[in-house]
Amino acid sequence: MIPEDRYIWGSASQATVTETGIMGHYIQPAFSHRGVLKSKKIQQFAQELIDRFAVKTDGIQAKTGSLSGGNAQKLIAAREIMHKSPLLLACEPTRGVDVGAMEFIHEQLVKKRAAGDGVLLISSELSEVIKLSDRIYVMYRGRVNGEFTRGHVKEEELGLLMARGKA
Amino acid sequence: MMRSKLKRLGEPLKQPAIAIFFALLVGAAAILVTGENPLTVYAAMAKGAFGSTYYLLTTLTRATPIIICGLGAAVAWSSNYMGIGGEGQMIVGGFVSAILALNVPGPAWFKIICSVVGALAAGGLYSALSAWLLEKFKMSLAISTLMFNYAAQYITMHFTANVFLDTTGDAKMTQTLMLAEELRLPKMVETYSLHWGFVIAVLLVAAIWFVMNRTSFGYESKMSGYNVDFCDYGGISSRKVMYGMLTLSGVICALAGVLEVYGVQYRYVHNTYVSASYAWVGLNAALISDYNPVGILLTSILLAGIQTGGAAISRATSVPLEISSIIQGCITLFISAKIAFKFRGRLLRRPRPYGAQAAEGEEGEA
Repeated sequence: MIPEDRYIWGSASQATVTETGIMGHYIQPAFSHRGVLKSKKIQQFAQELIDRFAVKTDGIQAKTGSLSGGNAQKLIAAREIMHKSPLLLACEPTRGVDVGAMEFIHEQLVKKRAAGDGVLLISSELSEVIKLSDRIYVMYRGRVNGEFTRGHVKEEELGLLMARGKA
Repeated sequence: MMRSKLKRLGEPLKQPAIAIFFALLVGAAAILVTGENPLTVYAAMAKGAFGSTYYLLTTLTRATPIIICGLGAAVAWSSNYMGIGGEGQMIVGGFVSAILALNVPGPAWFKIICSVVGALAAGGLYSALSAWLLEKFKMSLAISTLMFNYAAQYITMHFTANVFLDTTGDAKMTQTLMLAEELRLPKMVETYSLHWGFVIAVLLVAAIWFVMNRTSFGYESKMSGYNVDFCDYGGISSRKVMYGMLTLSGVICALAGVLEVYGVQYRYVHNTYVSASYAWVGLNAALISDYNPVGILLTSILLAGIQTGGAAISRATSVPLEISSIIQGCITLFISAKIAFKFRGRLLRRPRPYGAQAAEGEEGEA
């Protein structure tokens, strides 16, 4: 799951890039054995994250707080997409990131879908929702009250559904 | 590359070095007021702390419980659980180990095992009680652990004075009987005070470093110290971290008491741990060195040196013993200033998106 806020839930600014990147993964047998961490494997994994997702950083030992917002978001997205889970929850995956990083994260989400996994995208960015989704549900006051499929999205209708619940 | 590595290794030392430097400066001002030359006094102090085998080994003996209490404080504080119950935990450890060693029947090895295991378990349980109070009643950890210090001190005093009092000697001390010779920890060097407990403390430094940096439990507690919400999100049980780390901290501080009983006094003496304030100096060492175990080892020896050196100058010059308290107090002050700045910076830098205010208030709690 990619959390809504990268600093509150997604990372710890004092933690190193490695420490932030391994959250959720560290407990797997690949990275720890009877409670003892496998440092080498973990560092390789962190390096892989920043290489594959082009995270700009001084290295895997740099503090997460020293990353720019976009790069921190890429790191978190990398960490979550690397989970071999059949479903990925992405909440506001590109909030406040620059265009380059946004494109990149979008590509990776689509790739995850192409690999046969489900991606549930929750976003307040309409263009993002329309661009990426196969199916869109509109929520209003806690209920689903509209559904669109890819290629059949009418923006005005979608906006109305969001604002007052009926088209 | 090499340079940046050196810089990274040196980085943790910078803050304590600055704090200690300024504290010595303030100490120098205080010495000037008494009419002595600060340089000669500091020279005498260094000599009195590390200047001869006798002084050096005395300092190391004094440093032993400080190191251990420092480690105990560090494991709890670094995971965001700021307990200040080291003193009570040490008292419980010392008292229980002395009582068990004196009263359990059987061969020496059996007595030792019973007494050490019993004391460590008692210290752990005693500390876990504060964790329970925090979880169930949201009782501030700082207050519960501080109050428990008094409870431990006076309950053990009661039992020492009324049940286990040593009535054989003339001394009017509230103390238990002495442990049999074969139970005592041997001295490392004959006729000097340093006992093998110091080696145990150094081994413990390595063990704690390993736990904090190389185990998944250490990782979990470190992240808990950095950002509790991040841990909740990542599936780390804060409950497990809290109970685990507070219990561990209690066990470690209890060990400090056990080693004092087995290595120094050979009995439980009421008020000795309190008057020497081992646990507080240990906490100081932990704060100065930013919870780094190796840093705790070094700063504890330095702080113990300031104490033994302070005693030496009060004998050699007209400067009173309290000068070492002034220096120590100033170190604490400068270090807490650093912590305050860090905390302030963290609050200011924290982004506040909508809906996050509720999460803000819960920081630091279970």
